[in-house]
Amino acid sequence: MITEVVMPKSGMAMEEGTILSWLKQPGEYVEKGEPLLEIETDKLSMEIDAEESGYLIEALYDEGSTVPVASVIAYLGDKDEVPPAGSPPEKPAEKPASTPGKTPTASSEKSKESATAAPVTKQPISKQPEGKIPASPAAKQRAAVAGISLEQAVRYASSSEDMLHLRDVEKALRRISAGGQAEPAGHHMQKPGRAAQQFTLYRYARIETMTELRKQLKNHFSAGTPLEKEADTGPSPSPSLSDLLLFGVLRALEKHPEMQDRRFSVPASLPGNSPAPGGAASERQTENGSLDIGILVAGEDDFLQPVLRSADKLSLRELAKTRRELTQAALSQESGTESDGTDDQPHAGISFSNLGMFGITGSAGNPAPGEYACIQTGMVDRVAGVRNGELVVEKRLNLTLTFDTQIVGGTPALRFFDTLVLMIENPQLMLSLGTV
Amino acid sequence: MREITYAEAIREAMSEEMRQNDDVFLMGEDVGVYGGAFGVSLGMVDEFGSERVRDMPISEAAIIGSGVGAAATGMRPIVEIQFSDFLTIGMDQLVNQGAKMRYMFGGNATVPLVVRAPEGSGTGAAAQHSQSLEAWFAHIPGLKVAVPSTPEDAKGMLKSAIRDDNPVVFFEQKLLYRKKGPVPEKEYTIPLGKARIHRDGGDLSLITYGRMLPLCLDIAKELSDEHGIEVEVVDPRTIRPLDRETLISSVKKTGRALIVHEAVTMGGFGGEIAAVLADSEAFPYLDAPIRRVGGLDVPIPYCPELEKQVVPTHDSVRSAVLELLDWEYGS
Repeated sequence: MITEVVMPKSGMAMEEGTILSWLKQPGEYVEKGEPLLEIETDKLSMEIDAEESGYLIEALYDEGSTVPVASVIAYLGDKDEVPPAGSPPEKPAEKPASTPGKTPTASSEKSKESATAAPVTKQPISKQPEGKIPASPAAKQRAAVAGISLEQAVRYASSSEDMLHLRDVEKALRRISAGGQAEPAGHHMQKPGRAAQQFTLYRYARIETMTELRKQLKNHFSAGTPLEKEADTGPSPSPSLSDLLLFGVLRALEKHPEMQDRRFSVPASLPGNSPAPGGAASERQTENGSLDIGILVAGEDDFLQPVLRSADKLSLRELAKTRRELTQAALSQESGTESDGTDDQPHAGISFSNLGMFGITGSAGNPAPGEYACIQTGMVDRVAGVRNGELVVEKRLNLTLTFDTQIVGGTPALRFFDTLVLMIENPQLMLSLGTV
Repeated sequence: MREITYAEAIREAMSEEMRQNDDVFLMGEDVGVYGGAFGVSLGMVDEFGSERVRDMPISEAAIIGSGVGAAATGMRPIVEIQFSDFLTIGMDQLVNQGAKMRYMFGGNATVPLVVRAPEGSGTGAAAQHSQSLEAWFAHIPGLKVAVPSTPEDAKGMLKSAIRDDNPVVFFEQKLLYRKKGPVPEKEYTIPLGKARIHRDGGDLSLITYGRMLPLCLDIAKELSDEHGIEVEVVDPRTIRPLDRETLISSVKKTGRALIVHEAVTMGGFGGEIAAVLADSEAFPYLDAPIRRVGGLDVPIPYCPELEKQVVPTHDSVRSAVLELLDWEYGS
C-alpha cells in the first residue's frame, strides 16, 4: 500500500520546510518510527520518522528543496509498487513565490494525519485563512494595547503551539523590551513546545595581569600625574577590579554584536521603554545604538540592579565614576523609598555582577524578566596551576555566563565568552579597544 | 427559472410526495376544503380526497398524537398545526412520545412524522399566534428542526423531511408564504442538516435563518454597493442537525459573526450558534465578540407599530453589522 509522506507543519508560523537530508535512499526499507529524513524550518531542524514501514519508493524532492507544508514529499510502499502518477510536484523554485499555505485538496486529509507523525506536541490548526494568525482574545488584546502586530508576537515568542496565547505575547514583549534580536536565533537548541531555556557556561580567567594593571592605575591616579590634571571631568576614582571587568565585558560585547543586538526599534508604548525616572530615557534604540547594561548591586535587603545607560560610550575613568554614582544612587533610593517597586525599573537586556567581594566563588545567574543574558564574576582565588610544566600559583577569577537560548545562540555565546576571557587575561587588548 | 411562492412550493412538495407514496397523507385543522389557515394545502383535497387530506378536530394533542401513532405504525403523516404556538398543546405527544420512540424501543419503531407549523410575527395576530419557538425543539434529541427561508429550500427540505424516518418539525414562515422565488420544475430534494451560503464575503459572517434571511440579504447588498463591505450570508436552514462545519469555516474566514433571528434573543437558538462558534477552531480567528440580534424580551404586541419594533429590523441589523465591523481589540 502506498503511503504519502508529507512536509509536516510544526508550528503555526511554519509555512514551508527545507529538506536537509534523506536518511533513506529510494529502494531502501524503513521501519515505522525510524527516521526517514531531516528537515529544517525557520526555527529548528528535526528528523521526521516514517509513519509506516515500507520501502522508500520515491523521494519527490532533492535535499535542499524548500517545500510548502502538507505537500507530499515522498511515497512509501511495497518493493515493486509504483508511485501514483499525475501528482509529481512542480519542482519548487528556491522558495515558492508566495507560499499560499493552502493545502492541496486531494491529499489534505492524509496530510493532516501525517503531520502528527512529526515530533511535534500538538496538531496545528490546518486550513489557516490566508494571512491570519490564530490567537486567543487575550493575546490579541494584549498585542493591540502594546502596539505590536500578531506577526511580531509570533516571531518573538517562537511559539509552536496551535495558537498564540497571552503568555506568548508577553514573552514577545519581554524580548522586544530586552532588545532581543529581530529574529530568534536560527539554529539554537530550542525544541518546539518548550519554554524558555537558560544555559550557563563556566570558565575561569587568569587575572594576574589585570590585578597588576589595577595597582598601576591606582598609583597613577593617586600620584596626580599630568595626565590626570588634563582631564576636565573632575576627579575620577581609580578604577576597581569590577570597573576593569565591566570595561572588558563591554569591549567583548562590542566585538560580538550578536550578543547585544540592537537592530530592532521598540515601539514607544512598550513596557521597558518608558522614560526612566529622572528623565534618562533608554538610549538603546537610538539610531547608531548604544549599549545599556544592568549592574548588580548588593543592597541592604536584596540585590538591586540599576541600569548603566550608554555604557559603551564611557571611558574607563568615566565608567568607574558613573558606576559608583549609580551604585550610591541605587542604595540611597533603596533605603529612602522602601519597596517602591524596583521591579518597575526597566531592565537592560544584559547585566553584569561581581560578587567576589562577598567571597562568592561563582554563581549561575538567573536573568531577570526582560533580560537575556547575565555575566557574573566571583572572587579571585589563588590556585595551583601548571604553566610550562611547572607547578605555579595562579590567580584565577571564576566567570559564569547565563543566557536565554531563545534569544542568544549557543555558539555566539561561546565566542563572546572566549573573547571576554581573552580581554581579562590580556587587559592591554581591552584598553586598546576602549578609551581610558 | 420559474418563480412560485413559498406556500406553493410547500404544496408542490406535499403533492409530489403523496403522488409517489400512498403512505404519505396530510392532516390538520381545516386543511381540506378551506386549504389550511394560510391556504397552503388549497386544492389538495380535490386531488387526493378527504381520506388523505384529513380535517381534524380542534385539538393539537389529538392531531399530533394521531400523527405519532400513524407514523409508528407504518404511515408517513404530515401534520399541519395552524400556528406553531399551538405546538405547546401537543408537546407531550411530540416531545415525550414521538421523539423518544425510536430510541426507547431499541430501533424497533420509527416515527416518520412531519409537523408543519408556521411561526413568526408580522401578521397582527398578537402574542399567542406570533412566536418563534424553534429553539425549544432544537433542544430535543430525537427531533429534527427545519426553518426554510426560500421557496426552493422549503420544497426541497420538505420532501427530505417527508422521506426522513425521524420526526421533523418544519417551521414555516408566515411572512414568507406569499414571497416568490425561483424553484426548479424538475424534482429535487435538499438534505436536512446542510447550510447554504447565500452570499460570499470576507468581512463578516451574517448567520440567519427563516424570515430574517431576505432582510439580511438586502443589508448585505446595500453594504456592498454603498461601502464595498462584503458580508457573507449563511443560512443553516436546519437548526437540528446543525451544519456546524459551514458556520465555523465561514467565521474562521471572516473573523466576525453576527447571528440574526426573529426569536427572542434570550434563550434563542442564536446562543447555541454562538457557543458552537466560540468553542471551535474559529475561536482563535475571531476579531470581535460574537453578537446576536434577536427579538426583544417581550411578548409580541398587538399594536402593529410596536409589533414591527420588537423584532430585528433593517435598521437594527444594519447598525449591528456596522458596529461589529468597527469593533477592534485594544480600543
